[in-house]
Amino acid sequence: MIRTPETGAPRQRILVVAVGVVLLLAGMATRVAHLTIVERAELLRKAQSQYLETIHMAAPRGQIRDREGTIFADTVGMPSIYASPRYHQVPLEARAALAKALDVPRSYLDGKLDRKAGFVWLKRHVTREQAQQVERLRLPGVESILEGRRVYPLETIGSHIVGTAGTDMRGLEGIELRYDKVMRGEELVYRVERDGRGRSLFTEGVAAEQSDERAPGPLALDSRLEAGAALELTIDAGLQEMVERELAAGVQAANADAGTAIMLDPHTGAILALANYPWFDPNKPGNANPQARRNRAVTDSFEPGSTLKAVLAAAALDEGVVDPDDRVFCENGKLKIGKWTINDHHPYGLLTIPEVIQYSSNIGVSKIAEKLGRERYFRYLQSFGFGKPTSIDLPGEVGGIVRPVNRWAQIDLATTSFGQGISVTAMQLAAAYGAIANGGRLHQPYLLERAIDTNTGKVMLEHDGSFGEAASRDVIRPETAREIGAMLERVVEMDGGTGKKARIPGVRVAGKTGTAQKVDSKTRRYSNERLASFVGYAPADAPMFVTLVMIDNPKGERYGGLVAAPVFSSIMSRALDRFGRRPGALPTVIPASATVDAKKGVKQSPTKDAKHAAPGAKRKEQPAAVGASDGLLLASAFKGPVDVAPSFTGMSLRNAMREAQRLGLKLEARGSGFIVAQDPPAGTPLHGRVEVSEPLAPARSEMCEGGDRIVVTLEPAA
Amino acid sequence: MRVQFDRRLIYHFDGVLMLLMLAIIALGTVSVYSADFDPNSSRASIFAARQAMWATMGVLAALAMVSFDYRKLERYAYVAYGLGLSLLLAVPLIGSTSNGSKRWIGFGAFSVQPSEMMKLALIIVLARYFHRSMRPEGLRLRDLVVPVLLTLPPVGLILVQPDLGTAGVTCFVVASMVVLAGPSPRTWAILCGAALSVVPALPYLASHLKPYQLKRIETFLSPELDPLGAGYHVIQSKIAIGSGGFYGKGFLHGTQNQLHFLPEQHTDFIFSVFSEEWGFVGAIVLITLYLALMMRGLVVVGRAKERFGALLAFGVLSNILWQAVINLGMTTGMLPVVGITLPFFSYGGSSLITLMAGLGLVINVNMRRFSKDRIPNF
Repeated sequence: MIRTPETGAPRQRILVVAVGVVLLLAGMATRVAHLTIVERAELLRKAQSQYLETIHMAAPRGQIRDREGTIFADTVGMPSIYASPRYHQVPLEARAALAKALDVPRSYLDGKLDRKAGFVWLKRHVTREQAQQVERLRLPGVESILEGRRVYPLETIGSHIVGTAGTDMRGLEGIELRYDKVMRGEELVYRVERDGRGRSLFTEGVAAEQSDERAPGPLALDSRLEAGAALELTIDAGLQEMVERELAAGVQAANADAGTAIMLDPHTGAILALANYPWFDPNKPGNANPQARRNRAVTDSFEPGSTLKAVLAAAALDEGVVDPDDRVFCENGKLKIGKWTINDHHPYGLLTIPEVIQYSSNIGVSKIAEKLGRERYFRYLQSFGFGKPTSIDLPGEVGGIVRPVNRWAQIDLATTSFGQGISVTAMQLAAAYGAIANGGRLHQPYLLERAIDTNTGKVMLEHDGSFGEAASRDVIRPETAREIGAMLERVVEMDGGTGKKARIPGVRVAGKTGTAQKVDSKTRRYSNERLASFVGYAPADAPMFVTLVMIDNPKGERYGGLVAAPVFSSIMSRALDRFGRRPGALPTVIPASATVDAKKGVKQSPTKDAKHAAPGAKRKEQPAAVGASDGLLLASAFKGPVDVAPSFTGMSLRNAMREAQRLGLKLEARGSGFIVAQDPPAGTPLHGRVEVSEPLAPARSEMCEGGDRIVVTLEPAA
Repeated sequence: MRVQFDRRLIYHFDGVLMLLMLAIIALGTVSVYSADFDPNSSRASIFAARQAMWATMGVLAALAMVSFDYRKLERYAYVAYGLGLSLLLAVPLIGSTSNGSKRWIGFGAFSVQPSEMMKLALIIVLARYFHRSMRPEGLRLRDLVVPVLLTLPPVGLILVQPDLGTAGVTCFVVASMVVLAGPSPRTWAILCGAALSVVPALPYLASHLKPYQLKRIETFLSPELDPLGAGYHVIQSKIAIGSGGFYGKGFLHGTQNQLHFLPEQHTDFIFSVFSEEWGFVGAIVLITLYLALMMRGLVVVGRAKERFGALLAFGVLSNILWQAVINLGMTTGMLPVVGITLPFFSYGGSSLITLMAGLGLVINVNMRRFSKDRIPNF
């Protein structure tokens, strides 16, 4: 068009404006192209990340059981409460009620709700009542979901072995940590799609759709969550409980700081009991003093003292540098080596090698060590496993310190011969004595017998099979082992031996006392504190158990022979009683229930216990114990508490206790044997305790379930 | 007043402009439907139905705007300006507050945004002024004094509402009209020099902005600083547009929109909804529609019978353009979020009807380019 004079808007100017318009809109189009083509992938990812919120849900962790199926660790379903503060503001006025329902401080709750997270746990593992209370508050975005929670029905029993797992179902300590991956199972990742206002549009799998209106909240764990493998340990819960009890009594009697006891099967290296005092409750790991949580048996090394003399003597005999009949002059109690003087507790003159061990003469072993030579002694120390971890299946194990032989000073050969200037762990020492007990073969101590797939019942891992084949090796000749055994027996059985208090009437015991000076960690010098120990085995002629007892810093009596040996004796006598003192390998079945009281056990007819040990008896006694039913056991662990009393009649106490644990019932047992009556009878609506009565009698044991304490009392029959 | 409707008037009715506008309105209404769509509810979209109803009213308004000779507006320009200004003045007194600012006046069930009407009145009054102050050698600086004086009161009143976006658009429209009116080279030089000298004063101006305005500017500069606060809108909008990809997610399938991640999804951020569902292709179609509308409008400007009509049409068109550019810029994260709607596209009756009435004036200018009637001079 031709420009008209009136408009005064020349054509070029309109053209320029048109170009400007094109440029502006083209710029916008370019920007849209950039977003939709270049930045698309990144923006798409952002889009998905905000409406696809993920929650990682751990699978039920596999059980940890003892060799008889007693449950050390189990997984139960508990509601957990979460919120979506990014999308839902929980009104300030409603928070007080929420804090009250959850039993958390208001400030803690505010801290969680004022974050702008899309998903936040408010409190995990609450009771069903709490979950229902929260539900009744009808707060926007505050919901509950059923989560697995680890429970330790036996509470403190075996706490250092079992360890703990965190709320996220990951192992933190002990077996829980060591076999974490095996037990953990496959986690599920829920994709919780949320809209900008935070409504859960779509909750894949999470049991939202299963919950009905009146009883809100998910009622079952997702069926697709497959439980991790169950572990069967070498531990015997009954022995473990007894060992712990005796150890605690010994530590308390000696007014000591702490104690450790290990009981193992010398023929395999299987750990039957491993106790440390003080202990802790893995259900409440936060309450425990770190000192109480440490598994001293493997994490602490110490100067062993005289218990190491057996290793020196074994080396010397095995190398043939001395004969048992050789005599050693013990210098009447004082031997100068260079600028150092070695003292004996009592002055001795000429002693045979067995007497040197029997009387625990430092001078005697120093002279034997002199004959053996440092290189050979060092080699034996190494082959007995000192200086490096035993590789037992527990985390945090240390190897102790055996200094390289070329750095030994003149005096070091002598001091190392009587257990100074070297540090070892209790586990190493127990394993070494296992080698002496079994005829010269050192077995790697171990805890896991097998791992069983919870869903199929198939064995996934098995000791002596596909995993962790014990590093077993011959360390001394059988004759040497026999000769050392005889010497160790003299320590206990001969008058004048340092280990007399380890005696058990009717059973020959072999062992060695030790009283080591503790090194002050600050001054790096010997303190006045002592470490009293006794390690040995019984029966001496056919060892069933190797047991080590160590009492840390006893006050008053401080010698191993006085403080640790009596504990050893009571542990061993109780353990042997339970197996009818039968020599030979460990029986397949260990009587269920609790520990047998020593005196009572003596009076009991041995045939009764023998019956337990008889092959085949196991299957008859507990038809539905282990094996294929394990999956059932675990699965049923998620059932809620029962509301009527189940029938326990005809069950063994162990099975009844296991059932009671599973159902969350308190079980108080009277007597021993099989259950003949129960009160209230099966089918009775429950609101409290079920009492189960059994005819016969001994001992007591304490067991607990899920946080509720069950006191099981076994009393002698009238 | 007798209106003469000769056949030529009908003949020169610009159907193309009308159709382009209606096409944009149609796409907008579909997007409003989508923005309001709730898959879990069987209820029909109220917003889309209302938008269609307003569009119908807008068509009537546009027809009303072509029914008289636009040149009569020149006579009533100051009346319109006075009316607009008094409405604006009434806002602080009887206006209703939403999102922290007073921009609306309610008339029963209907509420209007006086700033929208003020813009139109300002365009008319400036068209009249520039029409009468035409100089062959171009506008002198002193010729700009009156336009500035006319612009300041409404812009000031809009700023205090506060409505930074509309105030800005108003300034852009005035500037565009000045450009079309044609400043002399000397005036250009002075204006550019003045614009450059303002830059150092920006920090001082910044200190006088409301905290939320400052925040928006800050967030515009780096939205990731506060992804859930003020930057939220921009990020969500960018995610929506970007995740739509080339072909889009399909009608009613925009996740960002359907999941309500988009703020103001049927008004300020309607483009994100549209773009997520129709992708780059849809966005290009829409931008092309705007471009066509502008080009067609510029043709009208170019062949307008006299300066008043050209400036009037251009003022209306520049308002559409600047709103579109600012809205697209803010939804794509290039400009701060200033609450400007996408013309003809965003939900909102007051804005839609005013815009359609404005376009009616453009059509009016086109229709009467051959009219022999002279505008009586005062």
